[in-house]
Amino acid sequence: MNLDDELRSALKRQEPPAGFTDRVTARARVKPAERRSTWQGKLGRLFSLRTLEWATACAVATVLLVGAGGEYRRRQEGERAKAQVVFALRMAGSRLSFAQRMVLELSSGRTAVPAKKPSAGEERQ
Amino acid sequence: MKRILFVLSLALICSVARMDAQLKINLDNLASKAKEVVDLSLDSAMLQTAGQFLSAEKSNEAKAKALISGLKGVYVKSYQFDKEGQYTLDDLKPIREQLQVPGWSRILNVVDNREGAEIYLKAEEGKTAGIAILAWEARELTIVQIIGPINLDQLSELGGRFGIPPVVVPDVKKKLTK
Repeated sequence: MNLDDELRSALKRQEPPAGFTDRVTARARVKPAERRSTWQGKLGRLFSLRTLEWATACAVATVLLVGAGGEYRRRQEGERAKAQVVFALRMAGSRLSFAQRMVLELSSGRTAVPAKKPSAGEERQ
Repeated sequence: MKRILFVLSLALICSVARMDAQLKINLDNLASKAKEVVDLSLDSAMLQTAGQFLSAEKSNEAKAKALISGLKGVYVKSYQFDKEGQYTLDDLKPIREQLQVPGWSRILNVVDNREGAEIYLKAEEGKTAGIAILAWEARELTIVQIIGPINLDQLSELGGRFGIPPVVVPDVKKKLTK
């Protein structure tokens, strides 16, 4: 038997077993719908990820979470520092104004008009 | 080994010098009697952080940002009392003593009955390197210290902003350059 005959024999058309076409058609019709609709299918696909993919996803999520947490904390500290600085400057300014008012009062003998002082409650605003 | 010792002693000298710059305010005995206590200690790192969050666009914040940019510290202690006579001016004595060292000069001392204020400036090479304000009323005692290159003009520029009453500052530059 030469090569041509061997190929012809190997590639010879063969009839499928009985009911093969029906089974394939039925499966093609039902399976995708089932896969889309059931949560088991989704979960199954999710868990079909390999370990390395899972580790990568976890690492990325951790980095993102830590970064976001750090940025949030930094922003909070910054806003707090800003509020404290503004409050401290208000205190300094109001005491300076108080001293000036006293000087003016004593030099002119006028009645005092109390200077507005920031209260501790305002610091938290 | 000598180099390590030199670096260590330099660090020690620096830390002592920095401690000296900040007033030691030990008025814990008043805190228990006070209705309200404000105790703010803002070092240069904190001021730097705050500076990053102060907008350069908004006029109010831009002034404050410029003012604190070179500062090394801002310290505020304030006590408010329910009734009069909870403190005496002797309580301020240890603080005044710290301000009676070379470099510091009192530019204002005004006393009227139960109210008063003292303003001290620290000069270094003809420039203001710090301000200390002691102010008291019948039911309130406040000590403010600002360390760093600042002058009263800068502080007065904040008058009318952040709720600070407008301030007119007398010319104190002549006094400093004497």
